[in-house]
Amino acid sequence: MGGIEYKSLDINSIRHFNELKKLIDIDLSEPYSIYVYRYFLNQWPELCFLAFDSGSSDDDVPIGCIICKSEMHRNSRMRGYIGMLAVEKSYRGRGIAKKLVEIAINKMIDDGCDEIMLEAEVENKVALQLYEGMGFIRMKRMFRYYLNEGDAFKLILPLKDKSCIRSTFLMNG
Amino acid sequence: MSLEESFSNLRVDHQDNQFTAHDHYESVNSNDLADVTQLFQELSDRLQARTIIKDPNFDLFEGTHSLEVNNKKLDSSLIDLTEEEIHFDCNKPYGFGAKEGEWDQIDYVSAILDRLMRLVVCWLNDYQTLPTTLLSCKYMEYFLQKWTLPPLDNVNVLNTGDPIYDDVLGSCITGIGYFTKFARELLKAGVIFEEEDLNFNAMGLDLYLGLPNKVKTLKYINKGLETLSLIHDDKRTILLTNILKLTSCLVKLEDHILFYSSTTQHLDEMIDLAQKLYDEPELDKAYPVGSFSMEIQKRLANQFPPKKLVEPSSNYDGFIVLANDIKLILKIAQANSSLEIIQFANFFNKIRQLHVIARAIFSLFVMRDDRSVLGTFTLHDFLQAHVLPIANNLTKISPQIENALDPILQDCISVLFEWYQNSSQNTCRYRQGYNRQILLWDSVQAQLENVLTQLGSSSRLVVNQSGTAQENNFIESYASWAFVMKLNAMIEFTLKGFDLDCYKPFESYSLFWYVYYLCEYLQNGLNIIETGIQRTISDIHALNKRMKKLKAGEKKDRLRDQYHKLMELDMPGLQDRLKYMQYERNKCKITQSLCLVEVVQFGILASYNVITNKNPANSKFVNDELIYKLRFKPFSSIGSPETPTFTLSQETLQKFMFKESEFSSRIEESLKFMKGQLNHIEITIGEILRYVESDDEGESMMTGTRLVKEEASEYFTQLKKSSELLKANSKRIVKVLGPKPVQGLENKFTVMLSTSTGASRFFPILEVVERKPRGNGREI
Repeated sequence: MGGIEYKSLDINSIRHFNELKKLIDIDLSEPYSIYVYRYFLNQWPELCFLAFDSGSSDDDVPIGCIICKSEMHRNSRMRGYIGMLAVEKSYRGRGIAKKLVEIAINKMIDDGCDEIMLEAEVENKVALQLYEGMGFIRMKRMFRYYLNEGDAFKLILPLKDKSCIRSTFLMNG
Repeated sequence: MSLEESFSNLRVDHQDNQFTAHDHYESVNSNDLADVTQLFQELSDRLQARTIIKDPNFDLFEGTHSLEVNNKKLDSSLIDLTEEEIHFDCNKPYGFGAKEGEWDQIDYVSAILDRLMRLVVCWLNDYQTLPTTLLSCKYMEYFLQKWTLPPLDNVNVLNTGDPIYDDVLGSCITGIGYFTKFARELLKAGVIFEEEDLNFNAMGLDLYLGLPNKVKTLKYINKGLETLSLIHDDKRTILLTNILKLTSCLVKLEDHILFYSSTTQHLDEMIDLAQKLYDEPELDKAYPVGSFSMEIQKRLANQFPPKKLVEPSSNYDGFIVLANDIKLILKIAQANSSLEIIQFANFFNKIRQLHVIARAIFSLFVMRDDRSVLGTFTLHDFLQAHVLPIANNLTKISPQIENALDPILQDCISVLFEWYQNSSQNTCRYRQGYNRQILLWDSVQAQLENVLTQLGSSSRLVVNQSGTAQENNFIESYASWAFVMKLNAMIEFTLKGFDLDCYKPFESYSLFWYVYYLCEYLQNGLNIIETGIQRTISDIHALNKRMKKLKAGEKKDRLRDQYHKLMELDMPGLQDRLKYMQYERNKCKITQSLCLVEVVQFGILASYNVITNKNPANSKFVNDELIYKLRFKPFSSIGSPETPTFTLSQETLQKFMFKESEFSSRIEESLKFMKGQLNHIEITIGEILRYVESDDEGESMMTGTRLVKEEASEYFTQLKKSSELLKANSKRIVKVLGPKPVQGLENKFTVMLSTSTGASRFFPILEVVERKPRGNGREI
């Protein structure tokens, strides 16, 4: 295996789109429609990052990806959101997921986000460990959040003071 | 015909790439249809690559529920069905003129209804979806479909000619259908949540227009029972008889919200029948092929991805849970005082999440359509009844003040109702409910204090100082109540986070310390209230002394009458309130002491260097102060008590940590201190338990937990177990980490929050565990 290269998504690449969809579909407990992918990728292509193995025979096939968005939350704070993250099975354990998350967070910080949010299954200890290892904390637990009937945690990484004030008071302010 | 009209009439299916109109659409004239091909092509030509076509209200949440044509995971039209499933005929008495290997009718009907009843439990107790449980039954779908039309003269929907099908199966399906309508009513009332609490994806079959009424349904079930009674008694007829009787118990459940019935006869019967069915060995007969299938997911309006059918286990005991939980709820009708109602709501759903149907009934049973509470209190009376247990005196106030206060009291009623409704929510919503309530209680408290200020009182939460006006007294009682409710909401929200596993060990210090700090305020608030009550009692006794000093005459007689009236009417209540305050103060003390021991243990562990109150994550994105502020966001706007700053929280930990030179003596001191605290807690818990179990037999305390004795006992018993575990943990920490810190302990040990069976999940133990070598487990 060669080095891992990280690139942002080329929205015009149908191949990359199909490959990353395949990559995510394999692992996710929730099946996502093409609409969900397009919802993220068409609106925030700059917040989708792909990992490639430069030493692979087909080095144009992504072996990892992260899909995010950022928008105003309740008219009060800029919230980044990590929607999907996946790394191809044979590449796991090499810190690729962590790197993808770091790249995405950095981009969202540059874009002026006040906080970054995501949901993770309560039983997904690996994902929780990854995000909590980067400073995310569990804000609340959601009962039977997923179609597979599992509970979820809502995790937030605070980036600015705005993240720590209730929306009600930010809106009034 | 307009394009919109054409679309609204158009419904086509496709099979083998052939599009065909179905049912009544077959009669649609092609002139009524609009050809939109060109329109679509023109519109699609104008699309940009990045354009997303969506309704403005269609957000990501909607998106994650969107489906996709030709995607096997998301397109239910791609479900493969067998010939038997497609051609299953509900009006054929399967078993009659049987093919070789088929069972007779009663075998089939037993198997169908046995499975269906167990699917009711899967749907409700295991939170499964309707299409994968009840609606997977062809008969259920057939009946619901028939009920989308106005009622028929005959309740019997089936026409097989076989009474085992037409009467026994038919009446059972009707009964279950009736019950599903009741469940839908509960959902529509908004007291439970669609999807997370109960799935009601009825695929458009929830009109229930033709569903017979309760009397007819029960009569129909009786007809089914009569049919069974004519058949030779064997294990199949016994099974079916029990199932039909169980169904009629389900039909009667609506009485609890329609007529606020608190009778439990049908619930006892349900328990008895469910136990019999549970004890029976599982049937060795199969249901007719095709009678249960995924077909409905493929054919009807399905907004969800295909989902495999649920395979029910031997789960009749689920009905016992349902019946027992409803029985528990109905006990609230026996409440003799406002205190018993409050305590009921405090405990009934606190440790174990009750059955969803019971939780929904609770809200509707307590807060009724006629805007009364339990049919006896008006909203204002109910509010006053809540303030009463902690108020020293609720005298009449002038109409002007009453008018001025009215909007605030309306707010009090709203937040009080929210508190009640929250008490029956699922365990996650319960915590979120408190998050919202913190602001609401804070707001009503602030409004009440504002009125007090306007009235010229300088006191905040000081009850009835030196003969202040009755208005002040009245408002102060409400303000005190709101303050206590707010503090309790803050404490409950914070501690519930431990129960839900929302915190990491490093956060536990600041959270336990915060609850300790809140308890300090709560204790003060309760003391002030108690002082107020005592003062009122003293005032009444002082009347007696004044009376004795007076000479005989009219004035003395008047005072004597007043004194006797107060002694007779007010004094018992005031004494009870004092006893209740004692309970509240004890409860608060237990929480506070447990938190104190938790922070002391954290301090010891931090002195050993195996934990810190900073995020251990090795990441440049970690900002400890921001993380702290985010964790305390729910309280950030609360002025009283002021939220401790990050710096203050850091400083307080230092006070619980030992320097190396003083380690031995300080740790000994701490162990002794904790032991003393915990011993005291256990005595206090024992005392409370004694009162709970004896229905408040005694002079010093009143718990008001008569109706939730088991639940309250369990809660305090769990706290006692936690206290014992904390005691054991003190010793274990020293045993595992040694008499004093040595270098490298942080590399060998870490700390986790652990809970044990029988102990309180609100107070997990800071357990020292050996670090595992890295590289284990799945990684992404």
